[in-house]
Parts: sequence; C-alpha cells; structure tokens
Amino acid sequence: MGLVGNPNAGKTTIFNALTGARQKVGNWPGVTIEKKEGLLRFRDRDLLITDLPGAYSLSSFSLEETLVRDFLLNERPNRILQVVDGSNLERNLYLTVQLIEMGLSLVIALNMYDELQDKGLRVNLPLLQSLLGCPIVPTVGPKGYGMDPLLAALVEGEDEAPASGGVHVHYGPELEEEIARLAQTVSAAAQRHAIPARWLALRLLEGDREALVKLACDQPEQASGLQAQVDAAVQRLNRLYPEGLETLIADRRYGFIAGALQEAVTRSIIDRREFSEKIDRVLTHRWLGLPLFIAFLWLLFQATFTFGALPMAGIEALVGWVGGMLGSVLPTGPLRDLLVDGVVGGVGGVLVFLPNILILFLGISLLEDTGYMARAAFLMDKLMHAIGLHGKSFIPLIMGFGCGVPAIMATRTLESPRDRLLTILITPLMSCSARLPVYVLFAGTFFPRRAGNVIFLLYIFGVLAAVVAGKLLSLTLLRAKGAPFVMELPPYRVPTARTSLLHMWDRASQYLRKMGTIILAASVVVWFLGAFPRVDGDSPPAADSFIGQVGRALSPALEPLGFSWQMDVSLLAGLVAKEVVVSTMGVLYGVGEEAPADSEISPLAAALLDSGITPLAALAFMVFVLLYSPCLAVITAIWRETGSWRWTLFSVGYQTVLAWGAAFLVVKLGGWLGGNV
Amino acid sequence: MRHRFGFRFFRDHADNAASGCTPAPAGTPHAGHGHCHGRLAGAEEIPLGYCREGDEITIRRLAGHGPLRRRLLEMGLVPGTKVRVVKYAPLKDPLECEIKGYHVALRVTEALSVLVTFPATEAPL
Ligand SMILES: Nc1nc2c(ncn2[C@@H]2O[C@H](COP(=O)(O)OP(=O)(O)O)[C@@H](O)[C@H]2O)c(=O)[nH]1
Repeated sequence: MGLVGNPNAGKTTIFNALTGARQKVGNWPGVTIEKKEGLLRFRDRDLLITDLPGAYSLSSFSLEETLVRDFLLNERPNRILQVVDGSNLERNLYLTVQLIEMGLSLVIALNMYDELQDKGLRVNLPLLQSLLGCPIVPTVGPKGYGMDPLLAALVEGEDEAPASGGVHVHYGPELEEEIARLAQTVSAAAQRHAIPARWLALRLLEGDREALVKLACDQPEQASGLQAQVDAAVQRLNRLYPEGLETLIADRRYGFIAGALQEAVTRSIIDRREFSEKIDRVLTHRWLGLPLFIAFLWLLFQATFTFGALPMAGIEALVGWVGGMLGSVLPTGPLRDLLVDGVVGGVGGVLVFLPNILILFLGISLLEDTGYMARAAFLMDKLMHAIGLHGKSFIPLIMGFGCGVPAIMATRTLESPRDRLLTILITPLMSCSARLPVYVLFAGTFFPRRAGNVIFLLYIFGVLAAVVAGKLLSLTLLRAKGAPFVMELPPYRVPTARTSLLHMWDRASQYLRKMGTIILAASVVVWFLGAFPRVDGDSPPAADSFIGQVGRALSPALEPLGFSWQMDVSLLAGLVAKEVVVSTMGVLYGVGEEAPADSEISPLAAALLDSGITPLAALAFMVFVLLYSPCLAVITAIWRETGSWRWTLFSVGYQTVLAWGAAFLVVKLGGWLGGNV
Repeated sequence: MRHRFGFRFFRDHADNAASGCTPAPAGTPHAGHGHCHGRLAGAEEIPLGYCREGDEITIRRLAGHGPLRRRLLEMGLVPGTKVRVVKYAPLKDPLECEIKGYHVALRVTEALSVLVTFPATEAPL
C-alpha cells in the first residue's frame, strides 16, 4: 500500500498516526530520499504502508515526483491512500485526478477536516465519493480522528479490482478522439503493464519521453510508427489549441475538479483575509520581516549552540569517566588503548553533538510545522538566488557557523537535489565554532592587538569564499536546470508537541544510526594511525606515529606557505575535528595544553613565537584552517547526505585546493606589501 | 531605493514582456500608478510580474515552455483563474499570490510569463 499526498497535506502526521512507532526507515534505491515503511495490523490483516515523498503531481517534474510515479507504476500497490488537505481541496485534487486516471485503487483521507469546517465549508461526502469514484474518509491527523474508518476503507476495497475508467475527465471532443485512437494502438502494451490504455495515450500526448522509450523497448518494430503517430496527433492538436496541449489538459482537469466541488461543497462565508495573512502582515512585513527572521535565526543559533553546549561538559565527563573505568580495569596494552582512546573517544565524539542536533532539529521541525520555513525562503530568496541558491539554503549556511554536521543535515529542507548539493558543498566554508580555538591561539599570539579584527575578517572571508564558490559552482558544474521557484506558502499552523517531537526524533535517530557508526569507525582508524608504530610496546611520540610521518611527508607541499612540519601534522590531525589542531600543536611543541592562569601568555603561544613562525605564515595558516577540507564528521555528513563518494571527494578536494591557493596568495601578497612598505 | 530598483527591473525585463506596454518613467512594479496597468489601458494583457500588491486579476495565458509552465499549470495557474497579489517580499523578489484559496510564491521573473488582465477589462475567454 502506498501513501501519497501534496506536501503539507499532513502525510507524515497521518503516517505516524497509522503506524505509530512501527516504522522502518531506509533510502530509495539510488537516491538519498528517505523511504519509510510501516507495518500495522487491522482486523487480522497485516498492512504494509510505504510513505512516498510529497508530490503536487505525477508529471515527473522533480526527483520526488518521478519516484512516486515509478513506484506507482512498477510496484503496483494494491491500494493507494492519498492524504488530501481539506482546506486546499482544489489544488490537492489535481493529484487525485492523476491517480484516478492511472487506474489505481484509491482511498482519500480528507485531512485537515477541522480546518475545512472552520473555513465554513460543508462537504457532501457521498456525492463527492461518487463524483470521484473512490471512498473518502474525513480525518484530523494530529488528533488521530478518523483512523479506524480510514483503515476499514483501506481493507474493505482491497480485493476488488480498481474501478478504472469509471470516472474520467472529459478533455473535449478533439483531444478525446486522439486519445481514443492512440489508446487503441497501445492497448496491448498497456494491458501487459496493467495500466489503463487511456492513461498511457494521454501520457504520450503530454510528451512523456520515458513512456515512449519504454514502449519502444517492448516492441522495437513498432517504435517509429508509434512515434510518428504521436507526433502527428500532437501537431493536429496544437493547431487546434494555440494555447498548447499542456494548458488544455491542466485546464480540463481543474475544470473537472471545480465542477465536482461546486456540486459537493457548499461554502457559507469565505473569510479571505484569513488568520495566516494577518500573521504574515508582521512576519513578512516590508521592514519588520527581515529583522524578525534574523532574530528567529539568532534564537535558533543560540539555542543550538549555547543550550546545546550545556550538557556537553556532562557528556564529556561521562565519557571520560567511562574511559577511566575501562582504563583502570583493563591491563595496559594496545587493547586498552583501543577501547579507551579509540572506541570510547569515538562514541564520545558522536554523543557530544547529540544535544546540538536534538535542539537544532526541534527548532527546524517547529519552523517547518508552523509553516515559517516557507516564509524564510520567501524572505531570503532574492539574496540566495543571486548566488544560484534557493531561499531555503540560508538556514543551513547560518547553522554552518556553529557546526557543519547539523548544518549539512539541515539541507534536507531543500527539495531540489541540485540546490541541496550546492548548499552542502559551500556550507563547510562557513567558519564553524571548532575553528575558533585555532584563530584565538594564532591571532592572539601573532596579532595580539588586532586579534578581534583578524578573527572577524576571517569569518567574513569564509562567507565571501562561500559566495564565490557557490556562484562558480552554479555557473559550471551545477548549472541550474531551470528549476522554478514556485513554492506554496502553507497557512500557519500550531504544531502539536507530538508531531514536532516525532519529526525531531526522526532526524536525530538517523544521525545516531548513520553518522554514529561511521564516525566511530573513523575515530578508531585515526587512533590507530596516531598510536602506531609502537615504540617499546607504547605509543610513539606524535611526530613518529603514522600520522606524524604522513604529516611530515606532506611538508614539501605546504612549504611555500611557510608552515612548519608541526603545523602540517596538526592540520592532518585536525581532520578529525578542527579543534584538535590546537591540542596537537601543544603536543608537538612539547607543552601542555593548559595555560597557567597567572602567565600573560600561554606556553604554547610562547613556543610558537620562539619557533620562528612569521606573522604572515600565521595568517596564512588561519586562512588555511578556515578553508581546508572539512573534518571527518562533516565529511561523513556530506557522504551520507549526497550519497556519493565522488561529491564527497570533490568537496574535500576543492576546499583543500582553495585553502592552499588562498594561503599562498596571503603569503605572496603579504610579502609584496611588506617589501613595498 | 525603490526608484533604483524600479529602473533596473524594467531594463532587465521589459524586453521579455510579451505585451507592448511602456513603463512609466517612475514606474516600479508596485509603487506607482500609471505604468502599463490595464485599468487605464484597456483589455491589455500584462505580466503578473508587473502587478502591484493588492491587485486582483485574472490569468489569460502562460507564455513560455518547459518545466516552469508545466509547474505553474499544475499549481493551478490555468487560464481563467482569479489571482490576488498579496505582497512582494521585503527584497522585492518573490511575490506572493493567492489562487484557488491558497498562497503561492513566485519569482518575479517567473511571474513575467503569466499574462493577466484586470476584471474591468475582462473579455470572455
Ligand atoms: N489542523 C490540522 N492540522 C494538521 C492536520 N494534519 C496535519 N496537520 C498539521 O499540518 C502540518 C504539516 O503536517 P505534516 O504531516 O508534516 O505534512 P506533510 O508535509 O504532508 O508530511 C503539521 O504542523 C501538522 O501538525 C489536521 O488534520 N488538522
């Protein structure tokens, strides 16, 4: 059984109400769109419900819609449940018409029934059912109202053959004639695929290349004949309808819907300036809109990274305590080190982010469930569009100042895969909070009087780099394929605690499952590289470990930037997490991390000043840290979210090249300026 | 500020406009009267992207081809549909419209391919 519906119709809410916690989350083969399945028992029957992505129509406009159409065609679910937003019937029923035309056995959940009634609409259900030819059950998702009748309707008709052809839109005599003629030609093929010939004919006339190719593969000998027949028909029709066939078809479908609604729905008074519009008078106000948006964003940011930081110390202490326990129980040796430093450390690395992730996702769920997310995109689109992005990209980019992992996961709110990819690729250029300790150390040591300004400029530089990279990528590799913006602004709704928490948990549990395992494995690998080869059965000095050796081997490449080998090794170690750069330097320069409270300058800073690093090299180093490859956790996030090794490697590669180039420029430009002053 | 925007806007897009309307000198799409608005100019079709906040108009046809046109049609912007321009975003780009009882945001460039007329000048379709 498949669950379909327009975005914002309440599909997720209904799915959760029907299946409760019995859900299985996976991915659709080949794409990174989530696939959720839920199993439920009703009247001694097991029903397997597949939640399909939200879709406005089935003309395979976006990846999601293609997915829905292919699922419906290939899996041939014996029942389709469409969630219809009752407060927005006309547009929602467009999808219904397409589903009916596909000859699917359809049940409609007339959701948001409460809002429909609040709007003063009254629906004659039996009449609407007979007009559309399928059972309709009123529901209110968050309250769980209507679930039993809905299940009953789903189970009852299951064994009957779909009432195909019973109800159909009349497209006018000329088009109907062409449809009938084509339908006859393709009737055998349609039968084989168990789809209505009428629907197939209509698809062909609409210019569905895929359908044509598929048919051609079935019967190569007829392919060219069929092509010619379709082309001729389209030409004839285009002469008759200068507006174009597409317009005609959409027009007739909407006409059919309007007719049905006119008969079956009575409205008392229509309150046009509704509640939502009143709210929007403030929230998208010409002057107030943007400041308010910035304020909300600031709140979200603060909540995520300030509140989220509170339990961090506790989690770290807990992890430290567990590590200590293990350390004291186990005998000394590689196994103990592996467990304590590698595994416990790795798990700690995952858990430490959890409070941030939970809060961020709760915030995002609230933004989405209330309907504000669409407004945020509305407000920011002009700016973001200038660099080839969608308005919704703004939020992940800002989250990037905190931490790249939740930021990259936040790109899920973007519907178009191309916009998502582009946003994912530039988000790591926003300077995350883990890079701050590096700036503080270096700017504080080498530019003591201008540290604040230097750090601020680094942040700005990161933003500029993101803008330039975004623009360049959108002009080259990720050229927009004319994806239109056309975006629904759903009415504001008060989200229920249950739905928002469920949405939050949905995402957070994915973080734990998917990210957790990989970060853990990577931490173990990195631990190994740092702890081997053994010297007298003990960990080697940092410089002689594998990681140290690799770092030193890299020095020639970084030589032109004026970095010492200690800096190179720290950069490499910083791939685990950027703040590790500082602690590694501490180890390599042979000083403790902690600064004695009474000293004006920390021992590490003193060691750095003594080591002969020039201020220019220090600046280049900060620029390098700002731009170079994202850390392991972020790389993992990029891989999970793009589902592609190629793009992940690309991300690592382009940023590292960018970092090298920018640092080199700093050194050269600085040297030139210095020489001229 | 608005002035500057208005000029740029017309320079960028006036060529795309299907109807031959002449922008008034100080005309911004939504700030001043007197540009190519149908109220004065007869049964002229004007692009939705030139309408002002609060305008209530009827869609006549969609120019252009491809995915944008299809998406617009699917979202219910079919000829004969009544549209109310609710507002422009603070940065003047996407505009919000109400159609068929729901709200949708379009970029101004996209809204240029939607040709509309004012009710007073409506001709039977
Ligand atoms: N008033 C009301 N709100 C609902 C109903 N069903 C869902 N919602 C709310 O509508 C919003 C969007 O629902 P969601 O399930 O996320 O929609 P989806 O995009 O189709 O998955 C959420 O804030 C829900 O709480 C309903 O029947 N009545």
